Amino acid sequence: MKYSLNWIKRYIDIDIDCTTLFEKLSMCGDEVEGYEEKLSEISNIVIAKIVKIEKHPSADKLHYCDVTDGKINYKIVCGAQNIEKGNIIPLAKIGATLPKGIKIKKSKIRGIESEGMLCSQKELGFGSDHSGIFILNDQYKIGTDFKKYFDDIIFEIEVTPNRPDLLSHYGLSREIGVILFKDAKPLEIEEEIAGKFESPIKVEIRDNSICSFYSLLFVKNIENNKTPDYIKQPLESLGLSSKNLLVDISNYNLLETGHPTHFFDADKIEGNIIVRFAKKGEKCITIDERERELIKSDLVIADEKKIVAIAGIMGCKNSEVDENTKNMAIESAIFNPVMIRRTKRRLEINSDAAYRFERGIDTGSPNISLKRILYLLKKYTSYEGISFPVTVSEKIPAKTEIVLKKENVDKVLGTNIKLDVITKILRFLGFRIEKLLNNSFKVIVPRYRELDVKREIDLIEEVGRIYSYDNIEEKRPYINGKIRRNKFYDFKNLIRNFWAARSAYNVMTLTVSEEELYRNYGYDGQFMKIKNPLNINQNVFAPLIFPRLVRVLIRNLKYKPERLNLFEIGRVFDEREQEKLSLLMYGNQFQANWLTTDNNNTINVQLLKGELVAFFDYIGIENVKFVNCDLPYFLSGNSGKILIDNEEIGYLGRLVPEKVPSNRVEYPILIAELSIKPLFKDELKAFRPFSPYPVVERDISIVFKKGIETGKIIENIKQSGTINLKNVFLLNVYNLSDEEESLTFHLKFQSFKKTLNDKNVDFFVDKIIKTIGEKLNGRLR
Amino acid sequence: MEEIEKLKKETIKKLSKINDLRKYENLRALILGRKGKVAELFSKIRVVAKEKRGEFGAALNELKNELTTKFEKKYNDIKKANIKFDKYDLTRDSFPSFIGAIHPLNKTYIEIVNIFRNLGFTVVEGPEIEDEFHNFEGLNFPKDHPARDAQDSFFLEDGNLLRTHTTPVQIRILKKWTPPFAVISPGKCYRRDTIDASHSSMFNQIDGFLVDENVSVADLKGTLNNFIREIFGSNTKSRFRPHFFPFTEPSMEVDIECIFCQGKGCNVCKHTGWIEILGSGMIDPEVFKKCRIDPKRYTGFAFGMGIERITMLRQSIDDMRYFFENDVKFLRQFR
Ligand SMILES: [Zn+2]
Repeated sequence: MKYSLNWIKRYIDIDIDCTTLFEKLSMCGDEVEGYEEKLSEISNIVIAKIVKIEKHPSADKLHYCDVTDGKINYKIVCGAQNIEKGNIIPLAKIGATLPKGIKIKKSKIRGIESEGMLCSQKELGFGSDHSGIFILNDQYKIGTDFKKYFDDIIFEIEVTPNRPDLLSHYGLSREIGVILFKDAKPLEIEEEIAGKFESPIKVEIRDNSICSFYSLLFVKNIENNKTPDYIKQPLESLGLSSKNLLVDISNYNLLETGHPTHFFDADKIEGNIIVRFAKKGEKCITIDERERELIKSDLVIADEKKIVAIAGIMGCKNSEVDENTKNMAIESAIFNPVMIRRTKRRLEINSDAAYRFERGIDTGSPNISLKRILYLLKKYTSYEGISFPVTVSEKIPAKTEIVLKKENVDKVLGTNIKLDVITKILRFLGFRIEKLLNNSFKVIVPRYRELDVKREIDLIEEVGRIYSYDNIEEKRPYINGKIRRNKFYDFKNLIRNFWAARSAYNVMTLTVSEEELYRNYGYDGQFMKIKNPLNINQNVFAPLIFPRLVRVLIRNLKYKPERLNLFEIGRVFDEREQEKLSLLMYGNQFQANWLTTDNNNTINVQLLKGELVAFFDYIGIENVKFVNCDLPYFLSGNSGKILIDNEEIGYLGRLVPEKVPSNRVEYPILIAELSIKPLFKDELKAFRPFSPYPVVERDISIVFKKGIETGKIIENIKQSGTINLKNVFLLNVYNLSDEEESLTFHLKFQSFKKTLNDKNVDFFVDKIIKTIGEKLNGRLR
Repeated sequence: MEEIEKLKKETIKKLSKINDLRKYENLRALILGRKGKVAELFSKIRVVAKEKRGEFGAALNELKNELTTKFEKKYNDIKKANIKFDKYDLTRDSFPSFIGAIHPLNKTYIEIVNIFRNLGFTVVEGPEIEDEFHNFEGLNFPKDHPARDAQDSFFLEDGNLLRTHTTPVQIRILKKWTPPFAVISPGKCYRRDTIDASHSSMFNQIDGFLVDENVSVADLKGTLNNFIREIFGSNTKSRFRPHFFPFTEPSMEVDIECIFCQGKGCNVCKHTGWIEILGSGMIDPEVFKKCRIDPKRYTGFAFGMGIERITMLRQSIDDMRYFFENDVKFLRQFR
């Protein structure tokens, strides 16, 4: 909310400069977000007095005046018609500056020299009034700088939602009072609402849940005067233009007490006031001249024929107060904040009233507000009389009483605050305190804090924030409790370090993305859809990651990378939320230079498999299997599934090139995506003794019919060999014919018990060849 | 005996003339091989007179050892002499090698998490798809609280939502574990925000909390000041400014003295000299009650911070979009 410092000063003397004040406010939880000096653009304007007025000799409509600032007389030419001899006015002397950089210079007007200029409010950049020269009264001392009286600072505070009591100038003055340990001046109000007659308008509330308090006051024969500067200036200072006295008082009261009231032209009300829900499709025109269509959950104020206000949000055109208003009905009520918020949101009306009703109004406010309005009406206008208030109200609860123990204050804050400091803080905050035994108090909460101070902890917070957290000595806690190390978290960092060291960039992409991105690559599973997407590019919680890695790749193709490997660890939703690792390999992994040759033809899915094998070795996973399998994302015969302990945990493959939306792609794009949880084993490995005897190597070449999976051959070799067969790998493949190929395997034998001799190994190899012949029709080459 | 001495002299002489491996192998086989001259001499032991056998045997063994050593030395000499080493100009390009990089946000995560782990905090990660109880209700956001507006959160078709902060983990742990405990919880969060220089629909947070008997604002200050000094330098000043959060009471925001102007006032700190870096407070007794923890016995503090913000401040990154665009020119700067 924006505040005028001058307005605040009506209730409290501030003897510190404003930046210190703002700093203190911020440190009490009322963060000052910014401020502007109102008359910063003008200078050299003094308060002066008109001592003589003559007609300009050559222009009927111009005056030629003698003006004094108490020391010097100035000859001024002036065109305004509202000046008289003896008026106190602001004078812009030669050399003065007005808004927008206008400089006052010596000038001749119709042949006569003018030594300055008399100014209207608008010319001073101070208000909107341009009807004539700004006439002051004799409270303003001649010769003083105009700014001394009219300078203002507008500052904005981010009022936290728990402090609706600060959404007013008087409320903030109370808070400043606590900071300065000074009391704000009491608000001048009518002591009593002295009704003289029964209101001709009665009130009916259709449903108690919508309005806990409603009071209506009928004011008879009111005169709608011109608004005095006292009311008008602070409003204009805050950017509210003056309309007529009644409307201005309503606005002034709102910003002063924080409670929104509504003034109806009573003669435009037909019958009684009814507080009710709108009917579906019911329409009304609000005072901003816009037609509003309502729904059943909107709260309205109606008379017997029509809607006269959207309750707590905005009045209707049809019952607005204007210059011709004679009889007026003042509404002072409390509406259900939730309903106000819903309607306000739906209709997008950000009125000052709605802003306050949605944050809550304390039960003391409606009456104080009414009494203050009556005081202002009495002071600035006249009326014949007021009715007895028509009030419909739920039972108003007693004031909140809380027992506060000093030991609890110290326990939560970690302090030893003296008793009298605690009581002083609470007293200045407006709490009434009764001492109880054993360093405890009964604290009675004022009405204006009843919405947020309900418990002992709320009082402790009040003490803490005024005492200042900066005054609390810091302490490092000793952390008790079970040791619970999260090794999985470390594991994920290990994975990141592995792939970064293995030349892949760790990226982070937006999980919330568009369905189409995944469908494009052939994903045909379910989507976790977002019910209220912000735009079509963010309508699902992603079921996989790699399409976003491809997008990152495409983004980086502008750099013409010869290679670019990417990886991301993130959450996906496919049947359940889980964490996945996704990898993308692109380009020539052995970049050509003088030491290497161009290895373009080796960019295939085996390259990625190799990286994965290294990865599984690094993290200590032993039972990994790669199974050939066609998948929708990948080129046929270029993909497979990854199994650990025979459980499928992911896949790898070469992306179908046509699906990649870019024409800059020059190399195959290899993808792998796997679940992380199954990779993590919280186990500390035990030492396994290893053989001290030498390894014996053999190569065997076997001819097979094409189409037999090498995995199957190796499996058979391993099974038919012996426990002494330690390692088998494919050394070479010779294409013999269209039907046959010869595979050369390199075998390593090692025994735990002895050094193997040729005879031993020959025996093992024979056995292997025999089995392979029987089971897979392989023959020795 | 003379035979032994003779063989020794001859062999040493022959060996000294050899300088290639083939001749060496031949000589070795001739002298030390299975049917070599030394072996031949050993076989003669049986014909030597009984009383001299001991002396003869000892001399033979000595001969065998001496020659073996000499042969080994020769073998090494020949090897060394025969190897030719290529020369390399190290100013030329090396064999191509590559390295990736860890994302700067992950680096910040690791650093912050470790600071708290060193104090004894446990890392706990929660789900990104949350229910309304953990994300709102349990944290004292009643049904009609403005923060629960559908405009600000991504709601899912199954009725859940994407968590808007990492604080729901607090509710999960309060319900599951028995105090005392201290938890640090990093993770992604989501808000229905249009992406610009300082907003993103996905962002990263760390939440932490500690629950025990007699935990106070003093402990909160000590813990967070320790963090601030570790992350921003040991001379960094901080201030604890009262604020409001539904799930803590009292609540405070923590500011550090502006690291760009040392508190003198600049554009970054909006001329206040201070920069807000985190939110914190004492866990509200209502939150404890909702999780069946006795607020009379236990107190606790909690805090939360944005990883992007801290990374941007520390590494002078001026636009949040960089983090999620993943331009390699950006990523490789933060290795
Ligand atoms: Zn600064």
